[in-house]
Amino acid sequence: MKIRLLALVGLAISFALPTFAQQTNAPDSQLRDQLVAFDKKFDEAFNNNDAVGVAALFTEDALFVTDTGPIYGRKAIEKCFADWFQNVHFSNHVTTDDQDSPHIMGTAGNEMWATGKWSHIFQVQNGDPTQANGYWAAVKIREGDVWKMRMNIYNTTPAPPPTK
Amino acid sequence: MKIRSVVALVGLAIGFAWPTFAQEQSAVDPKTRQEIEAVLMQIGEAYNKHDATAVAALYTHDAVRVDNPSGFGRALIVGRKAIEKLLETDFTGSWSSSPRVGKLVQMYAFEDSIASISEWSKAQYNGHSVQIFVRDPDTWKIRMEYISSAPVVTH
Repeated sequence: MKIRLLALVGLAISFALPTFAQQTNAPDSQLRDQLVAFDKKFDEAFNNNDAVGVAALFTEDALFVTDTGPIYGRKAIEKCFADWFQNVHFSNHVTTDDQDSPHIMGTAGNEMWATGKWSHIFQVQNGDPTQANGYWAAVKIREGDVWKMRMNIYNTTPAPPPTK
Repeated sequence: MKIRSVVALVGLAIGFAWPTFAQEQSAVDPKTRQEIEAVLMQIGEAYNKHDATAVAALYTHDAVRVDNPSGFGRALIVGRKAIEKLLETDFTGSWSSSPRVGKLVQMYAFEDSIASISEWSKAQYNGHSVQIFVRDPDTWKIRMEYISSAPVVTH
């Protein structure tokens, strides 16, 4: 009888474990929708080469870690994007989120982190349109009803060496 | 007139107070800072001893690591086991003899997590990394790590 009971407990655990694993990996669908909506706003502002619009999606004290170093604060981030948009024309910027993002931080539901990929086409003056892509990670916090970026770090995947 | 002045003063006070409040909210208390610094140091030491198991033990079982894609063709690594395997590969690579040097740049607090930003360098490579630490019963562990590398300058 004891053995049967143990077997039943074992069976129950074996069913419960995959469910637990799924629960820990699957993002909250409402939060996921909010993250996707945020990405859309970011992509729109980026594709409009709108530095003010992009910077408005960061918190006042945000940290933006570019591949040449960190930039502190919304004002400085706006200047960074303004410099980029002045020298380079960007289009088709697309942000995608990894399937298990976002991950909620804390219990209040006002903080989340996420990882994903980005791609866009850039063109310098008199240059050819060039595809670029890479990866990002970000922490977002809720200010009232709006999500803002508190931290963003990204990298650019180097172009493959030219074929001979 | 009086009301207007008071409202203006309150507004001004809020305007000054807000950035300070935001800074205070994300400030890390000295004890926590010390604990995180200790974990970062442990990771650095274990990494330079090529002890993949010891480094991986400081990540949560479900940790996510976004690694530098340049030249390595890898990006998102999920889970402590996968991170350990990746480190083992790193430690047998051609650049493994060069020590990795890390320097903490900034740390800030969220509700139950801490984010740290560091500079790193190894051989001719360098860049930044971001870690999100969560509380484990006895220590802090990395839940998410992003390793970014600066473009390599070739002469």
